[in-house]
Amino acid sequence: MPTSTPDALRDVSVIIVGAGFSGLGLGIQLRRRGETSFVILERADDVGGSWRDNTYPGVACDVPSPLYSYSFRTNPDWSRMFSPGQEIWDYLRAAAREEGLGPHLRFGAEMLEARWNENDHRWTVRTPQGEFYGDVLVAATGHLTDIKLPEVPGLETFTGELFHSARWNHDFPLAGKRIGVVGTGASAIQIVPQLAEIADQLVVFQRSAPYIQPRRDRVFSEAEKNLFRRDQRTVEEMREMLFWYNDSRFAARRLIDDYLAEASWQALSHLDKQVSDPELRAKLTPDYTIGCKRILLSDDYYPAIQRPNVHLEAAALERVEGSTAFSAAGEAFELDVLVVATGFETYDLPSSYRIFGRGGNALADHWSNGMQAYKSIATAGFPNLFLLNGPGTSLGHNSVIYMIEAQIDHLLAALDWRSAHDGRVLEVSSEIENAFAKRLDEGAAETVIIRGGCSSWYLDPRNGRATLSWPDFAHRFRDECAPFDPAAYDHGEQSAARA
Amino acid sequence: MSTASTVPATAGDVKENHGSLHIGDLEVNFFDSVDEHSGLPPIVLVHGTGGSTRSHFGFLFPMLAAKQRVVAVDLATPQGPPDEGQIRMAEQVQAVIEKVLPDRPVTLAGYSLGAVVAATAAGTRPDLVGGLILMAGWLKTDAQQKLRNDVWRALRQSDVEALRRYQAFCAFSAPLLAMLSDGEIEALVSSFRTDDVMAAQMEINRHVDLTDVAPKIACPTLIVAGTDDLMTPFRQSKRLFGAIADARYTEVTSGHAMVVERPAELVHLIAAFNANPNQYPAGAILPARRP
Repeated sequence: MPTSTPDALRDVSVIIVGAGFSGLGLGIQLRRRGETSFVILERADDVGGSWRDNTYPGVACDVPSPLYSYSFRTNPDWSRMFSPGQEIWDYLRAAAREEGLGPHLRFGAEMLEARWNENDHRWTVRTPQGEFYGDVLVAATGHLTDIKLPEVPGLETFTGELFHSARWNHDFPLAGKRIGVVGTGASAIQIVPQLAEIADQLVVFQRSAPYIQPRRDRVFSEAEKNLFRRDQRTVEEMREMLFWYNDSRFAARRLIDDYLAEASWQALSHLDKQVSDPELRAKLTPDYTIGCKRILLSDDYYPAIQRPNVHLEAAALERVEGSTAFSAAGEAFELDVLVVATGFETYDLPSSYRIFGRGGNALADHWSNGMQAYKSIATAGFPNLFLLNGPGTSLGHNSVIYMIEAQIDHLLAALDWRSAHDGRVLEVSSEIENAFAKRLDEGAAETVIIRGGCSSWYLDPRNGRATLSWPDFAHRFRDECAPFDPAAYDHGEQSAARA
Repeated sequence: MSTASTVPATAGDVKENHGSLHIGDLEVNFFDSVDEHSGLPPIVLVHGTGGSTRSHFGFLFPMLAAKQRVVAVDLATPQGPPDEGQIRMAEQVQAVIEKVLPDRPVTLAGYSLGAVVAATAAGTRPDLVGGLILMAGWLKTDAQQKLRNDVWRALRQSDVEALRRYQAFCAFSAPLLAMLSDGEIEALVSSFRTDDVMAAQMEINRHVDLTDVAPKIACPTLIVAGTDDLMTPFRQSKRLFGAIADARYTEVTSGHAMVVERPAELVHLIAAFNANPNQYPAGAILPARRP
């Protein structure tokens, strides 16, 4: 075990693991409340989470920027409705800096193991920077962070350049190359139009066609940005309009006919308008109900697919031999580069193998039947552990930042309660956790996630449960999950005094 | 916002029953989502002028019915003196409640003219209503509203196409209309009705007066106003807030057509009030929602 160098935050009230939107959001709120006894452990060398890791050409968010930001830190400076990833990363870096989080951040401090200590009722987190001790552990580790490679025979033997979309190799020149893109999800449809411009040949391996709706992106004019700066209410009003509009889209996810038909029409009429060749259109037409997988927004993907140097292979990548990539349809493609845009580990989180609660149980074992948590934040056998942006928080129709903020409110109330009650330990029972999970399962069973006839990253393939998904309005998450109810928690033990 | 048909209000997984009853020579249709889901009180929805369950509550009915039982009344338009319209319509709502949801408290939620009808129903039969939600309602038709009603009436005589455009102009907030394309504006315009039923309801609107009945409303009440409402300006909702003893007040950023402009926010407000009508005390203005 590495020896611990002196660090004033070695032993704190709250350990936050992860410096993405969740961890920073919590840190900002703690700072604003005058809390100083917290540390944010980050495995990388900068803040920003997904927006630090995803630097691929064309990276942007598919939630409008005025909504994809903290409600308590609106930003008048977004360049466009859907701002580039770099701007989102800059926004987070500025937030961390200006809110005074610098002294609380520890970089290169990957959580190697977190363990609940039954004797002093506290958490120990082992990192390459030594051990950290805390009363409360917050896993702000996200679920779109650990990359997932497809299980394709021979992929590791590919003789060309290969990288995942979230680990882009900017040193490798792509111009004039024969490039394969694996996947047609949110990352791929942003990457393809960019690579189509510079590739000699581009092959897109499509396992399942996505629904794509018009992006309706636009630049914010200088006059608009100036108004946003002069009158903050105007930013908030736009945010509120976007939030409530997005939340209304849940009606389609809940399979209400009129709204489902409208969502389908928005996507399929977009396809009709942009693609005239009936054969290609057929390949690009999804075979499941809209909303079952994430609905994508793009105005330049379909045009890119129709360029003469681009080929849509409507089949999965099946195997690789040397520099040849074979599709499941039996086609062979000679490639210089393979860009793997197949997403992230979602249902079986690597971080859950590193967190050990009562009796030394790993969170991954507790979740062997699918991850779940009471109000998406607390789980049985893991006292004083709180999860941000974990199970039951993903939305197909609104901003996850809103969900994270609701969770932060719950957590802050829990910390207040502990302060007022001699630092007693908070732990939910299995019954409470299971009852909550059951309600989510029942809710999901009424939505397109379960009934849409597809397999998506919202589902745990081990059991078919939609463990990632919040199966309701986003506003309902705040109504139900933001309030902290001490009666739901057992609270017998007390954390020992800090050293 | 097109027809007053009795096509089932919902689809998806809501298995609603359609029923009807007769009051005199009026046939009153209603829909019932049947499934209780929970111990929450059922919600009874009453649509507004020129509307129906389908056209005004295509969103609210199924989405509220996911968590609690919902019954919605398709109002029949009474003949006879327009100043008796609100009470004749309130009788229809009371009859549906007594038939479908007897002997249990219901939360009665009305929109626009439906708010007037709901308030009348709650004030004249306090025993039937456990909670009241008045969306874009008004206390007593004032000169500004009569002026708009005059223009409506005149355009109906002279230029029905202009009347439809005027309706779209009045119903939706300026920010919403500003965002729409020409095609979307035309689609909106063509959805408005100008028929005799609509005209009869506009006459009833001219004569609304809740001054006497409002003080008789005894149950917890939530008043929801649209900030940009030209048809029932938010000051009218504030008058209701003053007139009803156990009332709390909130605004949504919307024109009169809040069921179209902010339906998810209305689901939030209605569901939260139904779960706990006294979350905010009488006289409270709800805290601003800042998602």
